[in-house]
Amino acid sequence: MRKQDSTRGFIIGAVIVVIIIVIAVINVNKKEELDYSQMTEEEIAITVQNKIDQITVSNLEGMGERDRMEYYVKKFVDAVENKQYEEAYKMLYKEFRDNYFPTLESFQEYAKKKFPSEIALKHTNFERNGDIYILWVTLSNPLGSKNSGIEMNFIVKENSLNDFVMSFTVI
Amino acid sequence: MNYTDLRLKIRHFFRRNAKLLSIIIIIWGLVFLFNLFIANRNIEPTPKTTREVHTSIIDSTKSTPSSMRKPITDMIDEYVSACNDGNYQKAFNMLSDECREFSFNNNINTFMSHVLVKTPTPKEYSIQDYSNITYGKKKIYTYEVKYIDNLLATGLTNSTYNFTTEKFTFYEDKNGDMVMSAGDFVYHSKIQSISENNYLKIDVLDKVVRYSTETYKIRFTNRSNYTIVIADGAEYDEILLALPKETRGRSTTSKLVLKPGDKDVRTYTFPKFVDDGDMSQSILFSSVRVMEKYSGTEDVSDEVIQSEIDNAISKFSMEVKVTE
Repeated sequence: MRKQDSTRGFIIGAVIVVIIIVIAVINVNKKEELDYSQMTEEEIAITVQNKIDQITVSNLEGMGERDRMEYYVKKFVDAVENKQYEEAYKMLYKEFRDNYFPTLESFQEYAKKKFPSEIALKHTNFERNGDIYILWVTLSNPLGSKNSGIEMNFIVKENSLNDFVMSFTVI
Repeated sequence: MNYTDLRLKIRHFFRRNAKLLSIIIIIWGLVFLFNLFIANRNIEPTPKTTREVHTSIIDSTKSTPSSMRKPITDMIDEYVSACNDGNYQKAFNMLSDECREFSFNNNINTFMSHVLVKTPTPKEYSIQDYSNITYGKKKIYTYEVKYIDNLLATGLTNSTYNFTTEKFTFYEDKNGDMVMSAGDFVYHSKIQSISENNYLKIDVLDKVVRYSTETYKIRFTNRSNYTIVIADGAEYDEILLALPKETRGRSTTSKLVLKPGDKDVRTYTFPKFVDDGDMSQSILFSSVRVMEKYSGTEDVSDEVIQSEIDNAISKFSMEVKVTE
């Protein structure tokens, strides 16, 4: 009789412990609701950017490597087109920057002079060599004359999703 | 049934099945926690690529064993670094004895020439398992090394995209040490196979297998008092490598004419990929001619050539087995 009581007590104890753990874990895992009204503008911008980055990484995860590399090149070209030169400059491989554009100003000057103001991208070829990707691209101004395209190579190295460095043919 | 009866029945049910219900609740709780753990695992998303360094390109079902991957990549890295630093002796010493002898004649200058063709300036490199084959009891892992400039640093400015490649092979020797060969060298084999008749003796001495060729060293002995023509271009397919379902011509078409009593040692190279799944069977000398009179083939009319062939003392083919 005493043995039966102790078994029952043990089982009831185990059930209670499991229920307590489940409730505790649920509470810990409850995602905190973001209260934007308590944030500064800078914090909101960072939070929004983090969310955008998460979505971008999630989208890139489902892409093949060629699509990802073309996305990175487009990201660079979009930054140049939108005159976000600092952002574009940061995407460049350090040794490449040191070789051709030691300062942001020198890159900005080059980009204004050489890249079309409106840019249409056409990818003509793609190759991988180890962990380096080589893309053959034609940049043209969709509003310009028919033969206004500039053919150039982009070289891309992907460290992880949405984390990359690149260089391009300086013309 | 009144309310009290219902209450008692439920209570009775719980008392009777308390153990079973408790176990169900515990299992449910554990499954719930496990699911929660799986769902909340913070897995870093990784880029999908087609690059699998240690999986063979030729047969993607084969890959290099995990235990050999690091030694192979370390050896290649050390070799390329030595070449980039101009430390050719160190790189040369890393190669197998056979590779040094049969690819570079044990000569550091020959090796340096090879390195300077592949990497005239310091290069970056990438590696890829190309094919994994078995030769005798050895498992040989062939890696392709691609040498390129630092493209990221230049963006291909004022240059075009190009690269050089060479195959490296690796196997473990009897002591379990890794052996490396470069310059497409795979292995060397002593064939020592003979075919002979009253006129001619042919000894196949050895064979050097490179990734895309097989080179045989062969000694010919003319036992007759006549000129023997083995190859002079007057007949088709005079020297062939026989595979199970096809034959291959040699890479060069040098002449081989033996004067009475002559001995000559020649090397013949045939195109053959080491990982094509075929084993070489024999070398065919399909049109050996023992000549009564031989005027050669240069500045000699076709009629004279044909007439001399027609009047040959004997015409035959010879086959020397080269199976290992």
